[in-house]
Amino acid sequence: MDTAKDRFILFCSILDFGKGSKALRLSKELGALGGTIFLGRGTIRNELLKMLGAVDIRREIFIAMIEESKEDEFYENMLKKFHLDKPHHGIAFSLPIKYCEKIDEDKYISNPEKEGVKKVGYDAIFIIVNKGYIDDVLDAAEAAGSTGGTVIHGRGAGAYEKAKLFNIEIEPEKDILLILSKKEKTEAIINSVRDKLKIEEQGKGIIFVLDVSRTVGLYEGD
Amino acid sequence: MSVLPITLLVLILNFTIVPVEREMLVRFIIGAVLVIIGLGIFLFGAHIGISPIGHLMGETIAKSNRAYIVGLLGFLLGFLINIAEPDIQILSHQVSLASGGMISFSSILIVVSIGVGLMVGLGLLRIVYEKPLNVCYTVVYFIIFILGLFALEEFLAISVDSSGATTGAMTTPFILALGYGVSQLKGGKSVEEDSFGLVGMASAGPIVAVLLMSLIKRITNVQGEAEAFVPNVGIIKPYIQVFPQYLKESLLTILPILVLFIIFNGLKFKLNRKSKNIIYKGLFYTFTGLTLFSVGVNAGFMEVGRVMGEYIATYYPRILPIVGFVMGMVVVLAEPAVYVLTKQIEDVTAGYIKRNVILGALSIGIAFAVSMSMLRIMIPSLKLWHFLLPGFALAIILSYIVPPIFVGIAFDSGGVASGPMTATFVLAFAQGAANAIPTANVLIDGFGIIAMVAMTPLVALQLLGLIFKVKARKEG
Repeated sequence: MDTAKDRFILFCSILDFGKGSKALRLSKELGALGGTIFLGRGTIRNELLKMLGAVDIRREIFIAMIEESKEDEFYENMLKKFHLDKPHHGIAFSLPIKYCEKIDEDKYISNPEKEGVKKVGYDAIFIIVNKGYIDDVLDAAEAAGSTGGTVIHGRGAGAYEKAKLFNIEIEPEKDILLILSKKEKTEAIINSVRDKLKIEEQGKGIIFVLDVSRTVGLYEGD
Repeated sequence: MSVLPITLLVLILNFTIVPVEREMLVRFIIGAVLVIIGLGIFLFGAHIGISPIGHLMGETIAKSNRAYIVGLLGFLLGFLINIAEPDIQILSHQVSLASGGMISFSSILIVVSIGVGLMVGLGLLRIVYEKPLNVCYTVVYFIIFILGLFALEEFLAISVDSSGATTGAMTTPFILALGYGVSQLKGGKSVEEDSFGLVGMASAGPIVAVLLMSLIKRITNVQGEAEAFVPNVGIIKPYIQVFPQYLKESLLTILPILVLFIIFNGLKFKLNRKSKNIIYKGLFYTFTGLTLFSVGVNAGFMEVGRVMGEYIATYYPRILPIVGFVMGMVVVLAEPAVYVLTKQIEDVTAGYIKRNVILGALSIGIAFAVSMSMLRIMIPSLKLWHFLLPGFALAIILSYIVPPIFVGIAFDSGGVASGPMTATFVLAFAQGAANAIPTANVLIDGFGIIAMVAMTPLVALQLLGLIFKVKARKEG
């Protein structure tokens, strides 16, 4: 598996409400492994609106996974489409993905450092599944020693999911589970979730891990 | 953007088949400008004022953690919000007239408000006890069906109309947010579908209440006459004339929410100064926006609707259903509560069910409602229940097939669609048409229009849910 060495990055972008779907469509065209959108609220810069009493404005947070080799092209296109270089048009950043389970081709990509670095630390595990399966994921993660997790409600679609309704693409609802786990438990949690959900099947979900450099407030249970 | 389609339709009709007096056209355009500004201000105010209050109250009620408090507070809120609703006051007046004074104005007002209060209370308890929405609606509409068998046809029409009237521009965002607040605090698996359906429950209250009253009082015939139509004169004068009336009405609608907020804030919310000020600002905007909106609709839109209905019915009766269809399609886009509902849908589903899809389905639903109402006016043998009975029956059957969230959304949107724009403009159009058609009766045929508008979204949006379901299955 040569492609296993191809590293992935997590592209994150905060856009005006309504642009998330466009970003998702574009990133699929550019070869991303699908993407997920969730809603957030952002600050308002407009002084007049602030004075009138507007408190916040709806934003969409868009995340997508893409191969590192495609990153430059990806940014170029996103920039062109959403004018991210201009002020108040949204922001984007990317994070390196440490470990990624690429579900659609029934294999996973593991970065070489994963084996080498064994010092005590934490991983941020992201598990994205279709709505309705999140309780199973929580159970599976707990069984494997996870001490907690946070669920974010969103929508999104994998690269192979295509359903249209009156020419509008349907982006099914997803739940995103974020778990901060001790590095030695990460593998067990991922395996447990994978077995429970048969996540290697196409369209079941995706798991990836980001490196965490520092944490605070985590309860170290026995 | 939302008021533009209906404005364009009127202008196009004006330049093609229905030449309207110039003065009236100018009034209409002024009205359209007021409606656009009013709608914008109203929605902004609802976003920062009404919705947060409803949401906070929902959370507070749910936090009480006692079923009887949830039920009791739900009842009180529903009752108080409803009793001040101007639409309900107009309706009570009409019902009182139609019964020949056998039912007094205040008794109908109180009974309908009790009906709404009971249903809001039950609707909240339903969320707490996790009873499925479709079963609740089945029970409620079965009761309505049984009562309807014994009631006079006209009273059936009035009662279903009243369900549309209860859910006015102000109450709908509030009740929507209330249900959302309760279901969010409760959490659990069904948060999403529980966030909707409370407006649908609330709208059923008045139907039961009015039907029961007409049966208890043994009303055997409907009396009264439609209000005489007084044409407006001048361009600015009509606006100045109606302004105080709608200022008062808007004030009346906002007052109970304001008072409830002050009481609840003192006892429970204890918001800081800044948040409190934003909510007060929001309430003020809502009030201002609603006043402008109502003034614009009533002084600018209503007479144009009536004149057009009359003219088309006189000279081109054949195209009446077609014009009605197009009118239905565009008129719902100008309903304020529609935007509050679609925003909540996007928030709850993280954008999965998009606003435009809901608007499209609603548009088609209302188009059929208005079109079929025109047919009913034209063909005397076609009765209201020929539409309502199969419509509601279909809605109930669909509620067992489609995804639960669409059941709640559909029954809510029935109340949402029958807001101030439809209730005035479409009603005026229909009354104009009924006036020009010899076999039609302005009073009898006037009733039931809002009922149709409140019924078709139930079917249209659940059909949309069915399409979503089929599509999702294909994909999976």
